[in-house]
Amino acid sequence: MTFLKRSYPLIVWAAREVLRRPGRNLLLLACLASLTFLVATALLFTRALDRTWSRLMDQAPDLVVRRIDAGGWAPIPVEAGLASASTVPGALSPKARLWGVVPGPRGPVTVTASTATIPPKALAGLTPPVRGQAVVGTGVTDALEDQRLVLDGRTALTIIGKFSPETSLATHDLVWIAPQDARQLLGIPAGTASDLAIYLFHQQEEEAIRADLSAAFPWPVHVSGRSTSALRHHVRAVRMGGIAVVACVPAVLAMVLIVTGTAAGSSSRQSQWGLLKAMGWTTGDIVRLQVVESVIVAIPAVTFGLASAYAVVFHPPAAGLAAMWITGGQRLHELVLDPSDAAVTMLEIAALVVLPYLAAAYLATVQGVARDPLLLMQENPWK
Amino acid sequence: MEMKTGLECRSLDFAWPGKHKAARQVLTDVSTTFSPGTLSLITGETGAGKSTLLHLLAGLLRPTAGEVRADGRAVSRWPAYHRDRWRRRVGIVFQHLALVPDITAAENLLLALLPGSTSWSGMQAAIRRQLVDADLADLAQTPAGEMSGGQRQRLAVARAMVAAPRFILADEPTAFQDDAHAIGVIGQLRTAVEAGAAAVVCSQDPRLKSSPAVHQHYHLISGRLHPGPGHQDPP
Repeated sequence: MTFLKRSYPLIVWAAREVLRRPGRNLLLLACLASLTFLVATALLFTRALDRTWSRLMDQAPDLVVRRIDAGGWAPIPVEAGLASASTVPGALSPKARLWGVVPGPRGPVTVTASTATIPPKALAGLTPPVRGQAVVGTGVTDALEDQRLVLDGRTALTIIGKFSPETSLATHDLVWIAPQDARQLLGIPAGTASDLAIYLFHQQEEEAIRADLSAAFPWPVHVSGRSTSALRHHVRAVRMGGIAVVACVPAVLAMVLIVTGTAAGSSSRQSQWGLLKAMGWTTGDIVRLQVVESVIVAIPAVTFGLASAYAVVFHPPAAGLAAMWITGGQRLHELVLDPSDAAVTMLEIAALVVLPYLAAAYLATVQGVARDPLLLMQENPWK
Repeated sequence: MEMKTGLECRSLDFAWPGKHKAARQVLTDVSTTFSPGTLSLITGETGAGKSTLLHLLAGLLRPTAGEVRADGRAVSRWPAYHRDRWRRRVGIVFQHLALVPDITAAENLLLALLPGSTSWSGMQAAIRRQLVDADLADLAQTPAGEMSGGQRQRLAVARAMVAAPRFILADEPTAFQDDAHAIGVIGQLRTAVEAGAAAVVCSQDPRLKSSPAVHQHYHLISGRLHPGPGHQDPP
């Protein structure tokens, strides 16, 4: 309290100094806010996308077994497949899954009849479809004018539900239908499935069990693991982050300009600093004044930039626009990303923007003030 | 060594650094004491070094030889930080006024008070008092750049007085004043001196030369300080 009481006149004067140059400071505020917004949007989006995908991947099966033959993927016999998988120690709860990709109204959609292919969170509150019905993702409903969905140009379905936007990263183009409809659409005979989902008792055994599973089936199979998918996605996220960082290069250049401008602007005020020193202000007093002035501009600028970036990344449909910008055109209007840990990212960005700016103000002032007051006053003779 | 109160010059020399090492000597062997409770007037021709002497006394410049002592302490030898802090006890009126033109009269006075330990309400009271004394109460919210030359000069005097300094150094404080306001400025200086301040004024103004408020007269010739007519040595 004593510190605040002592600093109160200085803070009031610093605010007055900011108002003495409204145009310059408003421009500076806008530059800092834009810079913060650009950097924060890119970093918040890529990190949130990675985090959201990782969270969804936690609910995916540890291993997926697909049968392959000379023509590519082939349906896997359910009973024989389950029996073979059950012989591998450590491979738990094998489940046959029925899914595939078929043409939809505006491009390919993923159809599934197995709840094992859908994140449990996405199933909450939904009624399983019966023959002729479908539950669809947000990307599919966007293409519809009524509650009817025609797949592959021949199968008409009535939409009875919609996956939550919060799971849109995994359900955007997903259509959940009855097994009979799925078999008809995908051409998978009765008694066979698209693949087998397998859960592990110990995650660390994934590599060893993959090898055992490959050997356990009487047909050639391809076994993919969650870690492979996660790694693939992580690499993609890192690549996107890299692109975002490259996109931030102009922003960094802008920051350099702002910092340089701050330093130059400070040096042009040397005559006034000389006057202040002549009236008993110490170098410390003047540096404090300059830093408080900079803080008065920087805090609202960074707060506004961060708040805008948060809104654009985490609040649909703005998040869809951010996704379209960063991913290079993907339409994800209802994209909902996980905002946990966003606070840490925002603190990092605030430090990234504010610290160089304050350092520029501090160093330029210290350098500018360290002379005899009269020499400073003569920098710009008083009229 | 006897410790004197007030501002004391001891064998003060000053030369502006010149090109090709040809320094231009401004002051030579200036020695005197400006005691508390006295108003000293220094006269001299233009370019005699009056303003330079004030700047040396205020610690705005460092002497090339000799020293300036304030209440017995050699302030001219102090590092910048201590001299800056000591200057809170000094009120300066610059010849060119050095007001900040785009801020109000009250804000110009506030600048002199901010580095001190005065409370916010104390600052407001001191500013109001000084503006009344300087006949500028109605112009408190007027930017200094919009005031007349005389008003600006009185504002500069008020700024020098507002923090109740122990040492007042004024360069031509009445130059732009009509007779009534010149008497007012001299009255302000006298009041400060009566309160214990040591005031040194450089001026060519005959109204100051003939004023009974002045206790000591000096004349600066060729960089040397001589007692002027009517000079009385300090007690």
